[in-house]
Amino acid sequence: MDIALINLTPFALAALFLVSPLRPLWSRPIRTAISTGVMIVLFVALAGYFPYLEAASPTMGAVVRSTEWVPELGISLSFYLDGLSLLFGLIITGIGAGIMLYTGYYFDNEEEGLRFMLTLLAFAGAMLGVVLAGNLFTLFVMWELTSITSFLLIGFKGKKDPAARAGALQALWITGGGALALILAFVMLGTVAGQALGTAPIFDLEPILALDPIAGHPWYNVIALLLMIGAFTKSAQFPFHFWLPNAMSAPTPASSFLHSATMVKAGIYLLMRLYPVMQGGTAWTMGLVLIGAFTMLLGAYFALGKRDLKGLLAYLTVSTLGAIVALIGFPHYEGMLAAALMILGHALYKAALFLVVGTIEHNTGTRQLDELGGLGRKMPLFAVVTAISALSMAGIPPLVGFVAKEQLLDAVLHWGAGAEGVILGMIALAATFTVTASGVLFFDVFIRKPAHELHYHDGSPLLAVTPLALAVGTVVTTMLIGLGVLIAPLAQQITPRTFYLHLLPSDGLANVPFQISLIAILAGVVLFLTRDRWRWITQIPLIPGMTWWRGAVSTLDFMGDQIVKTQHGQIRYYLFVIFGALTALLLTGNLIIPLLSTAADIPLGGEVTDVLKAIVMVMGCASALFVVIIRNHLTAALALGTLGYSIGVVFLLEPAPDVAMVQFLVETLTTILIVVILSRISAKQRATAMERVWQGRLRFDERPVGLIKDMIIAGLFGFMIFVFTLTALLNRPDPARSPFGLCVLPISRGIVDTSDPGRSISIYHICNTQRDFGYTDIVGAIVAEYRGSDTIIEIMVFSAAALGVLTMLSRGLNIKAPSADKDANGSPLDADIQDSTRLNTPFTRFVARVVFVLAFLVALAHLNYGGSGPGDGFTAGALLGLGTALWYVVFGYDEAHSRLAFFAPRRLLRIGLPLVVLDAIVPIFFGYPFLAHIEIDKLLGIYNFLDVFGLHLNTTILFEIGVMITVFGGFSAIIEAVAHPQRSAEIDHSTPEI
Amino acid sequence: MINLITALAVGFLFAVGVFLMLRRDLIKAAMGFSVLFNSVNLLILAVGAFRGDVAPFTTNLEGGRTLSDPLVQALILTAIVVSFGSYALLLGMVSLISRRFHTVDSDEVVNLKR
Repeated sequence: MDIALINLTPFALAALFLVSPLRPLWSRPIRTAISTGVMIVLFVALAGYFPYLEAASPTMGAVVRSTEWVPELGISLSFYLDGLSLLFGLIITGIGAGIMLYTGYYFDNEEEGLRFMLTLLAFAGAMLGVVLAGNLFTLFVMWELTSITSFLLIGFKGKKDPAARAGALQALWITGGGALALILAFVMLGTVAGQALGTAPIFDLEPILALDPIAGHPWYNVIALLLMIGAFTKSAQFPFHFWLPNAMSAPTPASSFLHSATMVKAGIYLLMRLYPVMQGGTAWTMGLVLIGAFTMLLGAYFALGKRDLKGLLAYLTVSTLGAIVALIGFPHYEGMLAAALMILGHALYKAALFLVVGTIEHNTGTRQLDELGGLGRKMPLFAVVTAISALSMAGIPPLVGFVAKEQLLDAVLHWGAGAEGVILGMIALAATFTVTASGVLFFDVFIRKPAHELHYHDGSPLLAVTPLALAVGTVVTTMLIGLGVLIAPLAQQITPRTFYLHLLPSDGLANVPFQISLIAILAGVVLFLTRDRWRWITQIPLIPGMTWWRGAVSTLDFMGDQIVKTQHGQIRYYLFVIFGALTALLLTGNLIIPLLSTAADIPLGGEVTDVLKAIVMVMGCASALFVVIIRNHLTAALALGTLGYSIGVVFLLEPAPDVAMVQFLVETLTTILIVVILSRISAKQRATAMERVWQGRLRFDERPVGLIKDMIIAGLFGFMIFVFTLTALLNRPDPARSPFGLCVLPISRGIVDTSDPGRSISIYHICNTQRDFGYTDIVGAIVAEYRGSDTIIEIMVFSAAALGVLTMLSRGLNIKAPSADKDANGSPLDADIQDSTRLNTPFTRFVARVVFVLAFLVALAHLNYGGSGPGDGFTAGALLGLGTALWYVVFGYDEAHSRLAFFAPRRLLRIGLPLVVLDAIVPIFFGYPFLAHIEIDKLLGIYNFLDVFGLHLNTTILFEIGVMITVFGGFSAIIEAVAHPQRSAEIDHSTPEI
Repeated sequence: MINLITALAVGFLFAVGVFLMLRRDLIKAAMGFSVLFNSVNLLILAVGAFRGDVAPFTTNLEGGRTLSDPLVQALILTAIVVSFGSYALLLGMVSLISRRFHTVDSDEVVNLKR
C-alpha cells in the first residue's frame, strides 16, 4: 500500500461516517468492525515496509512520495517513511486498532459513539500524517490537526462538564501556542538547510536529514529553543506539563490513545526526527537532558499524591515522557535505542492501564482510589492485565520497561559531561516513585478491601479484548527482545550505532545500572508498604505548576478588562475607530503628491459613452444622497435601488455586459428583499429610529457634535478613496495609448508571454480563452475556469450566508405557519400577506407561472450559450431566484412553499455544492489537473451530433450548472426566509405605514 | 474628465456608505452597507489594468479595438452575488433585532448576548 494512501485512509473513513444519509448504516458492530479492520489493514501494510527498510538498513533507506504543493516556497505534500516513522506508525495503527474495538463498546449512547469514533479516526489520520510527513509544512499541518482533534476529544463531554471545556481549551492554548514557536523554527531550519546547500529554503525532510549537524550555525540556539518549546508543549514537559492531567476529562479511550500512546509522543517524534541535524549542541543536550530529567522526577512525584486513577496515570505519563526527552538529549545517538524501546514499552503498558481504568469507571462509576478496592475477584482478567502492565511500568526485570530503563541508565553512564551523578540520582528517585505508584495501582484497586461496598455492573465482555491484547503485546515484545529478533532490527533503523539488547544484564550484579534498578525497586517497595504514613507529604503543594499559567491568564484578563473599559459597546463607535484608522493609513499612503504631479495630464472631453457614464454616475450619487436624507425607509430603499441600477448602467457602458446583467437581477432582488424586511419591522420602531437618524452620539449644548464627527470621518474617508481611485484610473493605459497591441502574437501560436511585467494577467486571459476552452466570453471563462477555485469558495460563502438567513429568520419554521386569510390579529405581517394575496388574481397567477417557466428556459439558454455570449451560472441562478420571488409575492408563502417543495433551498444547495466540487475534483482521477476543462462530448464522440443543436457537454457546463443550482438555492433560501410569515407576540400591533 | 468624475463618484459613494453605517438607525446602517458594496464594485472596475472600449469577447479581438479588462469584471460578478448574501444576512439580523429588542435603534440594543 502506498504510504500516501495509508495516511489518507483514516480521514476517508471519518468522512464516510460524517455523511448524514449513510448514518443508519453505521450501527455499533459494523462501525466497530470497519474501523478496527481498517486499522489492522494499515498496520499490516506498514509492517510490509519492514523487510524493505531492513534490507536498506545501514544506509537508512527511506520511502518518499511527494506531490508539489507550493513549489515556489519549497512546500510540498510529501510522505517519508523510515525506521522511526515505521515504529510510530506501527504503534499508532496497532494500538489504534485496539482502541477502535474498545471505543465501539465503550459508549452506551449511539450518537456519541459514532461522533467519538469519527473524531478518533480523524485523529489517527492526523497522527499518521505527523509521523509519515516528508515535508516540514506537511508535518506542521498534521501537527495542528492533532491539536484540534485532541481539543475535540478532551472537550467531548463539554456540553455537560465545564471541567472538560476548560481542559480542552487549556490544551489547545498550550499546544497551539507551542506550534507558533514550531513554525518559526521550521522556517529558520529550512533557511539554514537552504544556505548549507546553496539554494532557496528547503523544507523537504530528506535533504534536511542528510545535512551535517548544524550545531555551529549562529541560529542554532534559537532554532533549538523554538523546537523545544514546540515539542515540550506537545509532550507535556515542564513547565507546560499541567495540561495533560487536565486533559483527563476526555473519555478514557481518547486518554489511552492520544494522551498516553500517541499524540503526546508527537513532540518526542519531532525531536527524534530532527536529531540527525540538531544533535550535539550544548543548547540541545542540556535543554533536553535537564528539562527531561526534571519533568521525569516531577511527574513521578506528583503521581504519588494523586487519588484519581487517571490523574495518577497522566502524571506517570508525564514522567516517562520526561525520561524519553532526556534520552534524546544525549549526543552521538547514545540514548536513541532506549528512547525507542521506552516509547514502545510505554505505549503498550500505559494504553492497557488506561483502558483498565476506563473499564473500572464504566463498571463501578468511579475512579477514585479511596473508593475502589477488591476488584480482583470481579475483574480477574483485568487484574492480570494490570499486573503485567504495572510490572513493566515499574521496570521489574525482565519486562520491556526494565530493559528500557537499563538502557536509559546505561546512556547516562556513558554521557561523560560530569553531571551523571545528579541525573542518575533523579532517575533512581523517579524509578522509586514509579514502583510505589505501580504498587498502589495494583494492590489498592484489586486486592485491598474497599472502604464501602461498590456499585458494580459488568460491561460488555468485548471491553476486555483490547487491554488483554496490549498486555500480551508487552509479554511478546519482551520475548522478542530476549530472542533478539524484530525489536533490535527495528531499533537499528533509528540509530546508526550498534547495540546489544539483553533481558537481564550478562554480568549480573556487577552491572551498575542493574544495581541502581534493584535499589530503586527495593526503595519503592518500602515506600509502598509505608504509604499511609507519608501520604500527607505529597498533599503539600510543592511547585504548583499551574501558577505561571494562572498568572498569565489573569494578566490577560486584566489587560482585557482595561481595554474593555475604554470601549463604549456601541457598534458605531467601533466603526468610527476602524474608519478613522483606515483614513489615517490611507493618508500616510503617500498617494496625494504623485497624484498632484499627474493631475495636470487629465485629458478633458471624451466620447459619447463617457458623457452617458457621467450622467449615470451623477444620478447614482444623487440617489445615494437621497438614501441619506430621505426620512422614510421605504423611499430610501427605492432610492437605493436606483443607485444599484445606475451602477448597472455604468457596468453596461464600461462595457461589461455579464456584470451588468447580474447587477440588474440582483438589484431587483435586493429591492424586493429590503421592502419585505421593512414590512416585518413595525412602523413605530421605524419611525422612532428615523427620528434619530440625525442624532449623533456626542452632544454638546443640545447640538449633535457626533453628527459632525461622523461627517468629517466619512468625508475624509471618501476623499481618500477618491484619491486612490483617481490614481488608479490615471495610471491605467487608455486604449489609444495602450503600450501593447493586444495579443500581438496570433492566438494560434500558443501561449502569450506573460513574463513581461507590463502585461497584466488579463492579457493572458484575453488571448488564450479561445485556444484553451473554445470560448468567446472571456469573463465567463475566468469565472468558470481560470479562477474556478475562487468561484467555488465564493458560492460556498454565499450558501453559508443564505443558510444563515434561513436559520435566523425561520426558527419558527416547524411551527405551523398561519394561513394567509387569517387577519384576527391585524399585525403588520398579516397585513402584508393580505397585500400579497390581493395580488393573487387569475391573471397574476398565470403570469407568475409563465414567468417561472420562462425563467427556467432563459436560465438554461444562458448556461448553454454562456461560452459564447454574456451570462453564466450566476446570472441563471439569480434569474431563477427572481422567478421564485415572484411566486412568493403572487401566491403567498403557504402556497408557494408547498408548490415549490421540489425546489427546497436546502436540497438545491445539497445538490449544487457537491456538483461543483465533484466537477473540480473528478478530473484528478483521470490524470487531469484540478478543475481541468474536459470536453466530455468529444471523448464520447458525440460532439458533432450535439453541435448541430448548439449544445456542448463539458466540465465547464457541469460547473456552471452546479453554480446555477447553488446560487438558485441560496436565493431561494433567502426568499423563503424573508417570505416566511413570522407571527410572534413580540411584534407590536400598530398599523403599517408603507 | 471621465476619470475624474468616476473617482469623484466612487469617493462620494464611499463617504455616503460610511456615513450611513455610522447612523443609529440600523436600517439605514444596513443600507449604508449596500451603498458601500456598490461603490466597492465600481472601485474594482476602476482599478482594472487597462481601459477598453469593447466588451471582452474574443470575437471582438479582430478590428484593433481594445477589450475592457475581463479580470475585474469576473471579480465583480462574484462579488455582487456574495454581497447580496451578506446584505441579506445583515437585513435578517436587523429584523431579528427588531423582534427581540422592539427597536432598530442601535443605541437601545444594549445587550446583544441576551
